[in-house]
Amino acid sequence: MLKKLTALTLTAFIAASPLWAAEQTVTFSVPGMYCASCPFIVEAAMGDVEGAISVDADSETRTAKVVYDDALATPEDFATASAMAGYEAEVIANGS
Amino acid sequence: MSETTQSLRPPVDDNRKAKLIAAGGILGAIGASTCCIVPLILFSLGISGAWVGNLTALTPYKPIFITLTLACLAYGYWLVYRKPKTCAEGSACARPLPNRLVKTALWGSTVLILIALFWNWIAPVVAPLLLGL
Repeated sequence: MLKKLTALTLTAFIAASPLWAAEQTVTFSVPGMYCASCPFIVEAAMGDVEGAISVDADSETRTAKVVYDDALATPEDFATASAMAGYEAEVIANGS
Repeated sequence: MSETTQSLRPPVDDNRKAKLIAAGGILGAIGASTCCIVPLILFSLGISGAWVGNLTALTPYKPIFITLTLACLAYGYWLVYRKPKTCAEGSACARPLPNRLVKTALWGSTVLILIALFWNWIAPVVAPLLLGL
């Protein structure tokens, strides 16, 4: 039982993790983004990070979805870029 | 004697009042635009930093600023344009009350507050242009 579970977890892990550098999607919670122009600033700030492929910020859900090249950037890079523009961002969902 | 001082007073008082009200309108309009318009303008100029978060934190107070501004503007416009003259033409108190400064302030804060009020519709048009998105 335990072995099965371990194997299953391992398989899931391998399936989820990229074997080569690829597009990754990460979703941030950006609580400060509650005005009409805020998401545009967040998009511009995160979009300036090297490796950013697309940034989609939504002021209604106060989240930002970033597609990036994981060979060039990490989720922390986007969080930092956003914070430097005045909008603290925190990873809420990470996956490809 | 007491009559002359009374008839002399209102315009002076009104003038000061109009200036105060105009200043209130401007401050309110600036307050209302701090959270949303100012960060966008600063960012598009390349000025940014974590401190911008302090500006956006003012968003919950935006309705208060808007109310204050609209109240000041309504009273200000009434003082400047509508208030019936209480004394006769040509007498000392009939001198025109508002100066250009007060009117400019009133109109300036009107424009600013209108932008702040309709920002939800203006931002999606203006922001991409300013930020080159």
